Amino acid sequence: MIALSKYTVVYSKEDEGIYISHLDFLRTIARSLRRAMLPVKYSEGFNPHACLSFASPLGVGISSECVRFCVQLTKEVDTEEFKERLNSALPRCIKALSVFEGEEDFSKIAYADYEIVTEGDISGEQLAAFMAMDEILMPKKTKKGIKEVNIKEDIFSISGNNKVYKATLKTGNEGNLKPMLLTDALIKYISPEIGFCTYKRLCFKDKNQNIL
Amino acid sequence: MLDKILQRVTKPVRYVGGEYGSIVKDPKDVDIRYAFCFPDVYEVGMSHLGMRILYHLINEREDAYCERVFTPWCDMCEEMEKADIPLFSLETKTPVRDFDILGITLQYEMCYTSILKTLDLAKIPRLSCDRDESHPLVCAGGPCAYNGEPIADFIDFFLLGEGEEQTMEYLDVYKECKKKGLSRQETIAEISKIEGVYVPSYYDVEYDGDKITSFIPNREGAPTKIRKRIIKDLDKTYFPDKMIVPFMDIVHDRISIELFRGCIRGCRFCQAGSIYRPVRERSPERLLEIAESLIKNSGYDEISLSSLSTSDYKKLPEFTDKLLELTEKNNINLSLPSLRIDNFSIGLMQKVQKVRKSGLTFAPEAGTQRMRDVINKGINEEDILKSADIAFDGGYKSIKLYFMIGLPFEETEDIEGIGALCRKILDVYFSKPREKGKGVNLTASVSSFVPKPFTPFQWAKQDSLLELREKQKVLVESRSKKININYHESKLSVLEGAFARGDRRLSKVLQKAADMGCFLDGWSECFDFEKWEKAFAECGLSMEQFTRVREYDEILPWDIVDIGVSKEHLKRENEKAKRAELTKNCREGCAGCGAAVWKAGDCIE
Repeated sequence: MIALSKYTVVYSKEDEGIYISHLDFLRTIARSLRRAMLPVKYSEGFNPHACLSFASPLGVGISSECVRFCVQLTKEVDTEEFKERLNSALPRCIKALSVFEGEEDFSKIAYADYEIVTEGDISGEQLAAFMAMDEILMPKKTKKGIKEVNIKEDIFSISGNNKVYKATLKTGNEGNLKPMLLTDALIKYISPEIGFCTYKRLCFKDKNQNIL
Repeated sequence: MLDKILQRVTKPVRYVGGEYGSIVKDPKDVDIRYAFCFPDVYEVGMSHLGMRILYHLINEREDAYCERVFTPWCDMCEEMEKADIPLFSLETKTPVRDFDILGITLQYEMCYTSILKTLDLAKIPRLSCDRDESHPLVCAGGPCAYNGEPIADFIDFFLLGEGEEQTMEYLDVYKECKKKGLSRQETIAEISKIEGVYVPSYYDVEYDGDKITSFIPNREGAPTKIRKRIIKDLDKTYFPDKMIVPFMDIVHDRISIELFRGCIRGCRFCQAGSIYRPVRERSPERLLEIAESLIKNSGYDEISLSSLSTSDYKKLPEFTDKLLELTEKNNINLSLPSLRIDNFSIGLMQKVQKVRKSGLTFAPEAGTQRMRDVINKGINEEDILKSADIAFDGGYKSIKLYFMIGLPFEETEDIEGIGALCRKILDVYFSKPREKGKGVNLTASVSSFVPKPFTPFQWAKQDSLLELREKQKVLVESRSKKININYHESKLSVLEGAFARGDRRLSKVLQKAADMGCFLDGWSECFDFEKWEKAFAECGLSMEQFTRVREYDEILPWDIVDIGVSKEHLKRENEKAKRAELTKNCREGCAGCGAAVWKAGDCIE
């Protein structure tokens, strides 16, 4: 019986990496693990795939320093060695920041904090007025076409000034708001001067706002 | 500014570079900046093995830095034009205009307008004669370079044949010329002295109606014929031990190793079989060495064997045994295209495919024995039915058959023969005891024959759209409803035919089509046949002028090139085709095609 060792890798995805879609990203990680010669466990059956699981996928266009995935290896590897070998096999836009033993429970994730940098400033009053709206309706693309959804419940908080803002948004199975939809709403209800935005995911939080 | 655009376009990851295995150098440290262009989108270009070889080959040089350029998709082109962003390289985002050399690979004729689009986006003048010292040298190689005449006005020099040695040579010459401060024209002149280099501007072409009356050098020293380059010993030549691993899914997303070049079969419609002769194999040891290092350095979980006719690799059984050991150890899938269907290959495929792919492909190409003999395909009906038998016994239920219509000396019964052959294959299936309810899926994929330069059929008249449509009708009416038929778009085939055997008069048609917005013509979303018809008409030309029959004594636009295989041999083969007479394959008996001039590969045995 092979002892299965589970590891969690915390990594960053930046620069050109923000354009890699989640599916492409899965493949990239699987191949990097192979290059690093880390003995990844494969599932049984007709179409074996690597035993990897990812926390809430990062959308295209968002960078992050706190993303993580879990992987099962067929034997124990020292965590420092794991990190070094993986880093030498990763493309430059992805870096393994730390590796620790054990599997994280991704189901605890309820919120994520984002840093949003805008082109145009939003004043404190404008933000307060936005958050005071009863409903914040936005068109959202679904499989059946375009639906109008109320995103107010998915925004926990927004703060900041001088073109740099922090937003805590619902993330995970109970509700998921992409920061792009938030800025589209800000542009729609406050002003188009807000312009082009860049996004960075800072951390995950559980339903009680504790940082994970 | 680029980030704004990237957030708006489809599949932005194809414009950003940064892939594992892509080469990063400091441009200030090198003497030559080379931009390698595949004139189609990233997903297509990155699948091309030739590009992978040349990219790493050039980057092995310390004095050179090779970066990649692809044609952006329509939405990205629009955004770039609006924002006035010139086309840039993937690695350093340097404008293509600022490179020393732009090398373009010509894999198929329908990419020609994409070349013009690429030049336009890069803000490089389309015409060779309009470029000055500030522009890169623009060169081109690949299979279509064997008749580069339609794009001769846009290319400073063509590279004929295999690039592994030739590329190093012209880079050395370029560096010397740059050091000496020679001008653009002087540099091209120096490069032209290298074997296999063809400078189209050194030749003038005269016409009388559609026929070429003269094709002669306009300066001293220009050769009357240019012989292609080949690598004599593939084992000793460069092959990269690492590769770029794209982020996104590309057309062929796996390791590809080249078993051999050329083909012994001599099928008369096939250009690749002629232009890549003589047949030269890599040894199993060398192949395993390459496979092992690519597996280690790429992290891919699939490997594919590339060649024109894998079953003809001399040591296939021993090689696949050793390769299977390697792939099984590393959890890798082996993909085997181009295999003849026989007991050996079915056994191999069953060993290899973890998840049994239920499909198999055969290529009878023609429906009757007479027609198969005309094209020298060398398989008879008995072989085909036996193969079907073996395939069905092996559990394969989905069969795809490749056919062509519009072949020379074709009659109606040959078209009907396609339907008849498919029916006989179905009969083989139904004659076997089988599980109830499980049917067979038989698809006939029918393309329209395009005569190509350097084949025995290079003098043939290509069927017109009307003729092709008639034949497709015959096919549909004569076949059983249980057979699915796929047609390759015949409009594209006619256009391809015009360019394949075209001459310099097509340059203005290409420019007109590009001005009308044609590019990425290989994509059905982009291809607009009406625009092409208009482009031809506005230039006072028609496609039929280029798909017409040729006489034996005519000067052909590609006569300037020597590929080893002689015109005499091609004429002989065409005459044999008229009599439906077969020619043995190279290993059974040398037909004296002319490729033996290099005394390499199979020719010396």
